[in-house]
Amino acid sequence: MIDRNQLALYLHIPFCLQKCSYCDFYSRVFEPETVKLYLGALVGELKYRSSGWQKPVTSIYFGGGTPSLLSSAALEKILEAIEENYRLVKNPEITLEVNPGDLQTKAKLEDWQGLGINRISLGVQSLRKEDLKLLGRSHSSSQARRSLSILASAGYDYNVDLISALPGQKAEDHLNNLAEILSYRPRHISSYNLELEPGTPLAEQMKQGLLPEISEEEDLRAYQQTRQELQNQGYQHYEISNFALPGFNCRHNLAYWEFRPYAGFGPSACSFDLQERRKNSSSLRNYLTNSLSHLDVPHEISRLDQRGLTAEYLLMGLRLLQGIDRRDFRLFFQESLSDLYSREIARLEKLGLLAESGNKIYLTDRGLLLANQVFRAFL
Amino acid sequence: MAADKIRNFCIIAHIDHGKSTLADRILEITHTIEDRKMQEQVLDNMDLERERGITIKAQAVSIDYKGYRLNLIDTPGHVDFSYEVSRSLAACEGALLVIDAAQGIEAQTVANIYLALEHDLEIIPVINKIDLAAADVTRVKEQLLEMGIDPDEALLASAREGTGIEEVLDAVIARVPAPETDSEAPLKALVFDSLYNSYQGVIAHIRLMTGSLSRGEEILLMASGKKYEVDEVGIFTPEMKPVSCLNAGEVGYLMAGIKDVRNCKVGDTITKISSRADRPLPGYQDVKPMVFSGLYPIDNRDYEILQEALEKLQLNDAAFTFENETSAALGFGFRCGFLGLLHMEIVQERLEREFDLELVITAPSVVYRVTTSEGETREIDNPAAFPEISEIEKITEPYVEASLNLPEEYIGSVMELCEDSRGEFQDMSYIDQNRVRLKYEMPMSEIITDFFNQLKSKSRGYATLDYEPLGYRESDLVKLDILVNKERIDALSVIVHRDRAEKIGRELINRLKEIIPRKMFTVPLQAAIGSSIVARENIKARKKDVLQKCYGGDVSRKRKLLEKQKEGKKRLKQVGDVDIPQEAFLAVLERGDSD
Repeated sequence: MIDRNQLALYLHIPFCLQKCSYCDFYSRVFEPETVKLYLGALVGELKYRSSGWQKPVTSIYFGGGTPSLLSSAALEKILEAIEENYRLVKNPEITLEVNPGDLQTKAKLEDWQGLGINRISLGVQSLRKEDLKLLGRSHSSSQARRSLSILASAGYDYNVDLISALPGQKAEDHLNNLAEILSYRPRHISSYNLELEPGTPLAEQMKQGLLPEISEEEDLRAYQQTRQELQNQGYQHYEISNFALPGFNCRHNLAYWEFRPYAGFGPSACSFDLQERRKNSSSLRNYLTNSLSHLDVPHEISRLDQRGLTAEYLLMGLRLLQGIDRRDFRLFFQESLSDLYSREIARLEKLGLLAESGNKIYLTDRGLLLANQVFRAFL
Repeated sequence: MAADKIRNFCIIAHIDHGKSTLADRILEITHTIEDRKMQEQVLDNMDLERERGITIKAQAVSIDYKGYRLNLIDTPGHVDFSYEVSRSLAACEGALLVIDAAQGIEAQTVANIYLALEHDLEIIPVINKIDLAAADVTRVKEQLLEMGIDPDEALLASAREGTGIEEVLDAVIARVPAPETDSEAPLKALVFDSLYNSYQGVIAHIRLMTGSLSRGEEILLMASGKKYEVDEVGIFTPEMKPVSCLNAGEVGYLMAGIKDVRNCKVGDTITKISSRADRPLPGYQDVKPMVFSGLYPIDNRDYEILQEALEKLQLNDAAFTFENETSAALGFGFRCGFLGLLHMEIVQERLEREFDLELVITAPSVVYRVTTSEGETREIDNPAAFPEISEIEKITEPYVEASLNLPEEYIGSVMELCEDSRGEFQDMSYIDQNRVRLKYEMPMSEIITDFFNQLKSKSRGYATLDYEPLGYRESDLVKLDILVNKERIDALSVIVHRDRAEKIGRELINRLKEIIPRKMFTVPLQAAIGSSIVARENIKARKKDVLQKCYGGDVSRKRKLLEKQKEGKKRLKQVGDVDIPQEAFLAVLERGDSD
């Protein structure tokens, strides 16, 4: 059974040196003065909201933006505020998202280690020069290789982010990237195909027909062979896009998929207390002004009805290869899954998209490829 | 009101030349409508009319000004409703010809000027929008001269700024002749519009030519043959205001417990049973629908609601017909008849808007006459109902004479379009220095496809189209069937000329390939004539459809994205295992690039 008496903390660090062409997360240009103000505001928010979030904290995640732009002193200040105001378990998972350009010396990694950061998520995306250019990444492939070897030689627990199915890309291009990454043997790999987010420069260029097509065949081949290769190498495929060596699943991200509570801080960050969702305003300026007044930062709350909650539970839970557990569902909602969705489940099983074993319901291999069809059925 | 104090007039104008704004200003300065009730463009009643900037139904208003009664009749402005326009003009003695000072006289206006002259109307040119920087009054005056209208008689106005409006009203009084009347003669009243509402029944908009009419009198509608007792007569102020009696020359309304607009059609003549007119007013036509298409609810459970909605719409629209129809692909629905494509679009939009229905409408068809090998001739308005090829002896289809007015620089491309639409060239003549009129004889079926849009795009909007029926002619036509996932979809069948069937089949299949959403399996698309397949394509199977990242911040957003996709799917008609969107049924209307 899933233990929901725990809490995951997310810190949104909304600064970047440059905006990647595909990214639609909220971020602003990195300016030391603004960052200083921001730190004050973030610490303020951590204090102000702490009373509502007193479950034991099992994971902390610095995401962005580019959190690796922050100085060690800044990270330390945030971690101190967390320690002072929240209940940390012994040895929580603390992840820092890192842009390869920010990890070029062993000393840097040791600084982070010294702060208690015990997991790095490295945004490599690709080792091909032309891909990095297309994606608008600020780092080079040689910088990526350097940070990979620093992490590998330190024996660190780290994840590598990869993006496949770029415009004009062949499956082999991605698989070559993967092979090289595997030579460093990271404990965790997130392999995503590119998703075009409306309004991003890359999506606009595609719309205007300035870039080659994204081939569904190549995407499919890349996905299936990535999966095969990683499983051959001892990685477990545990979520649609995520793979890990045994014991190294990302505890923090599991909070989202297992429908556990999480609290997010910083502009645009989201929180979920098992009943309602809270989203902080996506405006750094509003965030800064408001927190100076020692009030809560501007945000929106949406309270989900039972149907909305069950849909999201399934949407998230079915992303995990192990699927969802009927008993956990009943415990959480006080209703059985069959009472609510037996028709949908039967139909999806007939289509070969869902399967059952014992109390578990999970996506089949085919369902993994067509997961949206499954998700839509439950909405 | 003494007849010599009455002026009946309408406004002729091109779209956007300021007809509605001028009407608004006239109502304003004559205090016909109190300021607080003044809503921009009062005369366009329906939301649809206001949005599209067109008038669908005629409207009338009586204005009291300087001791005169000015009756303004607003007219519909589209070729689908040209009969209604002619009846509105027949109710008037004068017309304001409103011309945009910057745009000059447009071709369509020219056609309406001729129509007004045919009805012997006194034309008062009003050059509007003189406040615009691009206004060129001299050029407009030259155009008037070319048309044989004295440019010195033109008035200058800016309806937007409210200048020149009084002069326009004074000119109506001075120049539009008072109606010729004979109140002692038997009653002849022209019905120039007929509306229904559920409280009062049919409200006939009438112009009395001779005689008089009071409450309680018994009347006869000479075309429909129906008899009624008058409950109320009145005038439009623009609200309906009862009066004791309407006299020759006056414009107003009548209510007589009429339950159906089809018993009181536009163009009919009302007379009294006690003293009957010996013959009706000229010009009545029993307007028949020219274009037919199937209307089906997306959700089959909405069938009865659709039926009720159609019945309600028909109460108010004598030109619209419907009857039950069943499609193997679409289920239960209705075969509906319309005056033209705009009329069809309006009905569809009103059904969706006013009755909250989601509909599939099939490609419009004309009425074909098919003679079978057994010698029987049938009228067929639905391609799906065509007999097998082997049983067909002869097919005839309705032809029209199309008149196209356009600036001469577009002659080449418009002629190409006409020939591509099986048009046969008849005549070309100059209307003025740089405008020509082309005459083509062509199948009506070609006009109701994408012809009008193509015409507009090939002439940058400057060409206009009018057409008159010519009767039926034999054509070498075949039924082109579309098979989706090996299943013949009756609602996608179209009638086309044999020589072009293969090309149209190929184009249609290519378009459907883009429109029909991909499924988890490959869906073959085929076009067939009888049992022979003339074109085929595959809709490739969807192999990967999965959202990648889904973390804390994404959940609601991604859920909404998926919900939107699901919502979009609800608007599709499920046919077997395939979902077919509305646009697929109209795909045949779009013309592929001919080169």
